[in-house]
Amino acid sequence: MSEFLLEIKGLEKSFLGVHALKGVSLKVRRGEVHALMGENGAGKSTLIKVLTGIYRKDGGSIWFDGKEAEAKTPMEANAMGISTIYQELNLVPFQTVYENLFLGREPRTRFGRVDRVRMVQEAEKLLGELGLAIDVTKSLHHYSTAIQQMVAIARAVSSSARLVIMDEPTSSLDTQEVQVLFRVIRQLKGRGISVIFISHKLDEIFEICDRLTVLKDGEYIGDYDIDKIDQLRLISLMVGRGTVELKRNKQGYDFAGARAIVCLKNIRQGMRLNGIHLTLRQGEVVGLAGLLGSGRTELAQVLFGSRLPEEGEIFWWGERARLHSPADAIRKGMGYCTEDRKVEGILPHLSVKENITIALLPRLSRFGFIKAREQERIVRHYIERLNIKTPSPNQAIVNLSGGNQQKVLLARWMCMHPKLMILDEPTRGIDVGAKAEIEQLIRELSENGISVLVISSEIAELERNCDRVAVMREGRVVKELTGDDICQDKIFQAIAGGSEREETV
Amino acid sequence: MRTAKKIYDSFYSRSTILAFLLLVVAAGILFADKDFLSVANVNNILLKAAKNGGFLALGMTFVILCGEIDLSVGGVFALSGVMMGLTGQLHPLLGIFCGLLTGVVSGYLIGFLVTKLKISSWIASLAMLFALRGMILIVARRSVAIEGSILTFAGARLLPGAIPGAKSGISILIPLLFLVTFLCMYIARHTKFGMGLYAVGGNGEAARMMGIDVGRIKVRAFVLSGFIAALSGVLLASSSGSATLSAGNVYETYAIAMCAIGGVKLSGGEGKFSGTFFGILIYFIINTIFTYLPAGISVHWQSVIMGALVLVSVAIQSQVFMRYRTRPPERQTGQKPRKPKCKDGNSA
Repeated sequence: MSEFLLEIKGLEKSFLGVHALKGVSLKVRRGEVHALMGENGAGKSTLIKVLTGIYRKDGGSIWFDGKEAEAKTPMEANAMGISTIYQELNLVPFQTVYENLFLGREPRTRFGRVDRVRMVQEAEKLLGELGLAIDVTKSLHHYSTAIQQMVAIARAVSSSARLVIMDEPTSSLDTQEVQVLFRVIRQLKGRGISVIFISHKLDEIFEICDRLTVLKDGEYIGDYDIDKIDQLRLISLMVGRGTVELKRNKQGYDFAGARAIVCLKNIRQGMRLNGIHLTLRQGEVVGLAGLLGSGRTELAQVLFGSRLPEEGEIFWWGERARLHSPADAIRKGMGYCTEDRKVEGILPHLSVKENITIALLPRLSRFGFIKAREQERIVRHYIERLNIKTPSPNQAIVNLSGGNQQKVLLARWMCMHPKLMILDEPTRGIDVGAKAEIEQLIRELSENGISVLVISSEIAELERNCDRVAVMREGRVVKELTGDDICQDKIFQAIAGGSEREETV
Repeated sequence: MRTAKKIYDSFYSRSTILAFLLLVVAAGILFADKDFLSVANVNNILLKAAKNGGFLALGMTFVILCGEIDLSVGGVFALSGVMMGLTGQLHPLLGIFCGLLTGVVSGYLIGFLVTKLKISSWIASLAMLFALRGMILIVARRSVAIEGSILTFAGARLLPGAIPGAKSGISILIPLLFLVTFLCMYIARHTKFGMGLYAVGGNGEAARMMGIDVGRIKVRAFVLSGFIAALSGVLLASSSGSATLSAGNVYETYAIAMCAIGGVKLSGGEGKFSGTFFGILIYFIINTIFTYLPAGISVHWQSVIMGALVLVSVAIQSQVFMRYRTRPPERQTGQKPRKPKCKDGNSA
């Protein structure tokens, strides 16, 4: 028998033109906790979905427990002994804990009715073994996410899983709950059950995992024993070094004396923001660097009023500001291009014209009638200025390429004459030409005295365009770099460095 | 285990039972002069419930619990009686069989449309309702007489003379309503299907991942709903001796209202048959109270008042249950939480 419980070799998967997995390998030993590492789009979740039968592979082989295996449905994967604890828990909140444990495989009495007495007893025993003494007859939604997760794990274990996949299990747990989870994971290990662990919190990876595999852009980078790799090395493997044009567009730092447009003080929210201090000055381009889950997007949402902080203050032009909704933020003069264009950005079936002016409409209309000529003028102006490639302003926006859609969204905010633009991953998924244009536009905004906050996972992009880079880690700004200090090496170090070098401005 | 059962039992229908008791006490006091709480009146209310769509609400509960809706029940109710009358002329047992089969077939068809062709159950069952109403007029021109001792079995009465005000005895429809309620409660609590029903309605994706055949559960729910509607239609025709073409008109809406009053959540996964049962009773008590009101209040106003009452009862329940809800689990890393407030909507 092979020492590996799971052996994946040369796995290939494509979606309509997107090559999501390019010959990926993954080997998991028996009773080992194995971390699967990679940034957004690295192919982690595609890999997991192929493994658990949600997607079908295009090529390569999967060996599980010495046999070639290909699950066609999640149920088949389950039957083979592969269980997944999803980010969004797949349990039924309004049913009891014990029902959730036994749904789909209820024990029955001799007369064929479901045996609730036995279910309750076995549920108590199962959870007891995992060190959890709770009332199993209460509905699941009475309990915290951590407990719900334990129930999901108990369910997996009791259905004789030999490989448990945990997709970001700790993202909504507090430190103590994480320790409870780790205790359970160690127990699983003790029973010879393997765990694939996905998390973006490096400290956790180094605490609980034995080995790790790194993926990047759908490619297999390598696997490593945890004690033979350090955080810095891991980050550079995951993020990769940008090879494109490294020349910075900016020199020095000219904003030391500029007025602060917005100032965040000690912002805390949930488990994502743990005391943020950050100041943006007029006309300055500030980049937010950090791994996935470090709180960058959440910070932007707090600034834009779509996420309410539990603690902390925001000052706008030095005055305390109440930002309770995006409408508040827009009134103050902010614009926010979100990370997910499709979900939160474009109005797919409306025209380019309508998409550009939708936020401006209140100012563009009189007695409820839109001033058509004014609208037309503005739309033409921005189509020209941003070089939006569309046959006509009346074209439906879905028919435009990703880059041009992004430019329409930028135009939407620019025609409002904002003071501060927040751009969340502005160049993701768009082609090189459009990328350069958007970077050019960021510079123009800045020259016109508009502050820009850029969130990007491409460190090279931040390096090229930002006057200042704030590095985030676990909900804190751990380092701020300005001027010539902005370079990939220093950013990587700051991401890896963590709390011991904490700095606030 | 006993405490477990207690919590389980009391959770959903508590407010419904409370409303029921309040209503009974209030009506008993207010309408003491009309002998509201007399045996005869209680018999009267229960008979109304059994004849006019109480059964439909029970069937509807299965469908709503799994997160769907069945608008066809009124049509099934009428067609099943007509089918029984027509085929019953060949053989009475064949008549009963065909009557019931009407509901099973119609329920199965809706289930097929919903699970296989992925048509929304609102549309599928609405289309079925139209089709059934048309079928009735195709197969029969006028009311069909139900004759013969077997076909009129539901006209049987129990305990003649035992009840003042109902000298000929209690209609067997009343005990049948209780029996069907108990059967439904049993199915919901003690069968795999019952547990699956709640899982499918509560979190369909999770149910699928747990290896539950979501489609099969839904089809069964529709078949049960159709069957119970047909049973109800057969019973009414059988007890009244004729199957009228317009029977059960808009009863599907009453059935939904009774479920809603009974605390069955229209979004699926929450609710109990005991709740529906009390929902039925509340509905028909209020309905009876209307007949006590001064003649000046027309039927139309009664309908308006009933509408308001349904709204109020559902509003109260959702307030009550708010306290039991925890906030939905946050969506996690990588994806930001889907905000209902998107920047576009809030720019005004």
